[in-house]
Formats: sequence, C-alpha cells, structure tokens
Amino acid sequence: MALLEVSNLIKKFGGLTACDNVSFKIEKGDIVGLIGPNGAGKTTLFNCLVGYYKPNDGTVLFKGENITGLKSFLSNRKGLARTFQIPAIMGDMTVLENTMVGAFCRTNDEDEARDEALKILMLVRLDRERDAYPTELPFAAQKRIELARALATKPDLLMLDEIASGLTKTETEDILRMLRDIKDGKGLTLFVIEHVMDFVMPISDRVLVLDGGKKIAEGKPESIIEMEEVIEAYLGEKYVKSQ
Amino acid sequence: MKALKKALSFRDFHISERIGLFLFIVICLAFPWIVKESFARSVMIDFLIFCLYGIGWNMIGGYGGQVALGQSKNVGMSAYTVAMLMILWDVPWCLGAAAGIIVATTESFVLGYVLFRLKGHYFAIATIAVQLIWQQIFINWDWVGGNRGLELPIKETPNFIYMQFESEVYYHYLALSLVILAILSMNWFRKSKLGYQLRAIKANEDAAESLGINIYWAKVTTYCITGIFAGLGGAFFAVYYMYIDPYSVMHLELSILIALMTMIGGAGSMWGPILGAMILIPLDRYLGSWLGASGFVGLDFMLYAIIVMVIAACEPRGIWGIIERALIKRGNTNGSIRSI
Repeated sequence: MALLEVSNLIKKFGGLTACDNVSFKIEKGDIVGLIGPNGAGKTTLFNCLVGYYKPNDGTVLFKGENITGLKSFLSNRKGLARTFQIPAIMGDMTVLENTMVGAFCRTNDEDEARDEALKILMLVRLDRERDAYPTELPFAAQKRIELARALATKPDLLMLDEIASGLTKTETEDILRMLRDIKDGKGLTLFVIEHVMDFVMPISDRVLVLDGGKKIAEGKPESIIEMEEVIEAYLGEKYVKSQ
Repeated sequence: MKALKKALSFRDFHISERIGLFLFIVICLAFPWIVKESFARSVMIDFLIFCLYGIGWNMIGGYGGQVALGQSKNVGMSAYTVAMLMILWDVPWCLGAAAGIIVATTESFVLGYVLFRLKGHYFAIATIAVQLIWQQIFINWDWVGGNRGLELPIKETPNFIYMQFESEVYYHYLALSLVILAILSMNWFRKSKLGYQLRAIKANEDAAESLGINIYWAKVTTYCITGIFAGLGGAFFAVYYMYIDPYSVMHLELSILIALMTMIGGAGSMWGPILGAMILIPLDRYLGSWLGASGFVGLDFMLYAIIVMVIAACEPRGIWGIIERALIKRGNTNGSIRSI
C-alpha cells in the first residue's frame, strides 16, 4: 500500500483549473520531487493534499485512509506535515518555542514538548539559536525553523514547499545534506516542490512535472531531464546542455 | 499536581520580573495598613478588580490576538446572577459567584462558538454588537431592575457567608487573593499547550493550523477561560459595591477600558494587564475626582486620552515594551527578557 495515493484530483478556481486530473503515488521512504513552471499548480496541489483547499473532485488516500478535503489540522495529526513557500515563522516566539508548537501536536506536556523540540533543533543545527527570535536570524535559518517545526509534529510524510528557494549554493547544499540525514535517521518520506534543480534532482528518487495544472511527466530525475515535453515546458535547452 | 507546580513556578522569568512581582504583592499586602484614606483604598480595590478583568482579557486578546470587545457583558451577567440569587433566595456569595461564573462562561461558550467563525475586524465588530444588545436588554429588563439597577440586600451584621464587611480591608484582601489566583492561572496558561497554541494562532493562523492546532476550538476554549475571569470579577464587583446597574457592569465603555488598559500595559505579556491597570485606573479616578471637583468637567477625559496616546505612540507594545527595551539597553539581559 502506497503511503500517499492521489487519484484524479481536480481543483478549480472559477474558470481556472489549477489541478487537472492529477494522479500519482508516493511509497513509504521515497523522496519525490514536484517541479513545473510558475502557476503550474504545485502549491495548489500541496494545499489540496493537506486540506487548505477542498478539491472539486478526486481522492487523496493517506496510509490507506481517505483524507480528501480533511481539515489541515486533522491531516497534520494523521502524519502529513508541510512547510510554506515564504517561511511562516512566529516572530514573537523563540526558535525553541516555534518548534515546541509543533511538538505539542503529539503531547500535552510542556517538558516533553521541550525535550522533543530540543532534539529536533539539534538535527537541523539550530540548537545554539534556540533562544533567539526568528526575525533576528538569517533567511536560511528561518527556513530551518519551519523545517524543525514540521519535523516536531512527527510526520510520516513531510511536504516541503520550495525550501531551497532564496538560499545560496552553500546553504542549499547544507540543507540537502541535512534532509538526507534526517530522512535516513527518521525513515521519513519527502515530497518536495522546488525550482532549484541543484536541490531537487540530486535528492529525488522520482520527479513529477506539472504544467498548467496537468501532470505532464513522472519518472527518475535522469529520465525526466531528457523528456521533450519537460524541456519544452520547464527546463529549457540551456539546463539540459549544462548537465 | 504538575499544573499547580507550573503555576507556582516563576523560574523562567528574568530576575527583575520576579523582584517586580514580589514587590507588587508586598505593596498590595501592606497597602491597607499604610494608607488609611478611604478614597485611595477604594481606588486600590478598583485597580485590583481591573487587574482581574485585564488578566482574563489578556488570554484571548493578548495571547490570542482576538480583539474581543465584550468582556463587560460577562462581568455583568455574573454580577446580576449574584445579585438576583441573593435578592430572591438569599443565596450565599460563594454559591452565587459560582453560578455567576457558570452563566458568564456558558455565554462565552455560546457566543464564541458562533462568533469565532468570523475573523479579525469582523469578529471585533460582532462582539461590540452583541455587547450592545445585552446592554439594551438589561437596561429595559424590569425584572433585573432595568435602568435603575439592583441593590443587594444588606445584612444586619457583617459576615463571611455573604461577603459583607464593614471595613474595606476585607474586600481589599479578597480582591488581592483573586488577583493572585489569576496571576497563577495566567502563569500556568502561558506554559500550557493551549497557551503556546494561542500564541501561534496570533502569529500566523495558517502555520498554526498546519501544526495540528484546531484554531477554532483553541479560540473558543480560551474565550471561555476569559469568561471565567470576567465572571469572578463581576461576582466581586456586586458584593463590593452592593449596587449594580447596566451602566457600571454591562457597558461597552467598560469592555473598551479593559481592552485598552491591557493594550497600554502590554497585551500578550504576563505583566501587561497589571501595568495597564496600575496607570489607567488611578489616573482615571484621580483625574475625575480632582478636575471634576475643580469645575473642569471633561478635562480629565482629554488628559486621560493624551496620556494613552503618548504611551501608544512611544511603544506600540505598551508599557511592558518600554520596560523591556530599557532592560535590554542596560544590558541586564541577553534578550531573554522578551518573554511572555
């Protein structure tokens, strides 16, 4: 049984079909990349999966359970966690407190939540900044706070929305290594939206490509970069030649 | 037991905050023995009542960022319940207060259940509308005294059952114990799961929801807790003044004053409501008394408004924000003072 199984998902905003009959599966332990040009419907797809949007049609099965249209907080409790394109940090709470909010998803006890949050902060290498406020930290650290917070909810499937965007090459490599370590250590499954090819191609076992709300391709990264329709819709010749 | 331990533990506060709390309690305890003037004592009791209201409002308004402007209807409901039970069936204060708190909390639950489907300004306006409706109902409802209000039956001899005393000192200590109870509850609340969730909701609702927080129920639950404090304050108000009317306990002006006081003190901080009440209540009472007596009726409101505006302009996070900034500047802290 696949961890996540999406069948014929449709999401419309008035006359615009943002997700058009999208179907795919994610197996436990996989890292799946989701790429496509701006406005392809990647974030809308994420939002439909976690319950921010209710799909017009289609089903979302998570661990065999139908979670289509389930509210966001409930899908999180079932094991789906996400980060946001623009870090949705809680500026008036310290890094530790931000992470504790996530940990409270699985416990009612403050001490347990603190312990769990501290462990997660070690993983994302933010333990030294635990008492700092996110607004005092650089952008890359803010991205890691989001990651820590999502990890603290102990998800089975972690959905990362452009986690590498706006990061320098070194920071991107850093977060790439960190995610691999976390994935191996925690047995996580990752679903990653990304425009940064240096991030998404090396990390992904499989890549989905969306364009105009439709899934136009799916496969291993090395085969994806050779597909005509993907090159035409998104990657461009320049990228392919550079590889 | 663990909750009690957390409520009693102030270790995570900066040393200056702990000293401040200690001094506050010592001064409040000694106040009736140092100050003998009746007006000053009554201002002090008013200050304590407003601390109680403010601490309650701070949970939903300060920590949760929900501008609920209807706190006084809960104060009024509890006060009226205490008064009516005492008038009709001679019910002792403790039982009346318990009933009052239940009524206030139930109303908060029903209202919160409906109104928290709204957000932001719409929610604030809806709470004002409901407040005004209750206000009009109580002004026109003859059974509860209507416009004239209600006088509570005075017992021949002072007694603890009805909380009726000759000296203000007893009321002072009763109010102070309620405030200390409220501070401890607040200290527990800010360290509770609900407290963290509320702060997350205030910061970013979408992010909070993505972390498994049921935003709607967190708000409704906190609104009910706010109702408990308003109810407690209302029950005390009724027995302290022995007279209530819709203008003193059921008025929009009171709701706004509670919210304003907390914002001026520092909404969302532990000490904000106390600091706000410490400035605004004596200012309001003394300015009203001095300038009103000198024939400058209305000037007190102007001065009051100017002071409020100056504080708001200097530091949007209120008086606590000013104190916090000063402490950080003096290097008394590494920044951890920016606590809740």
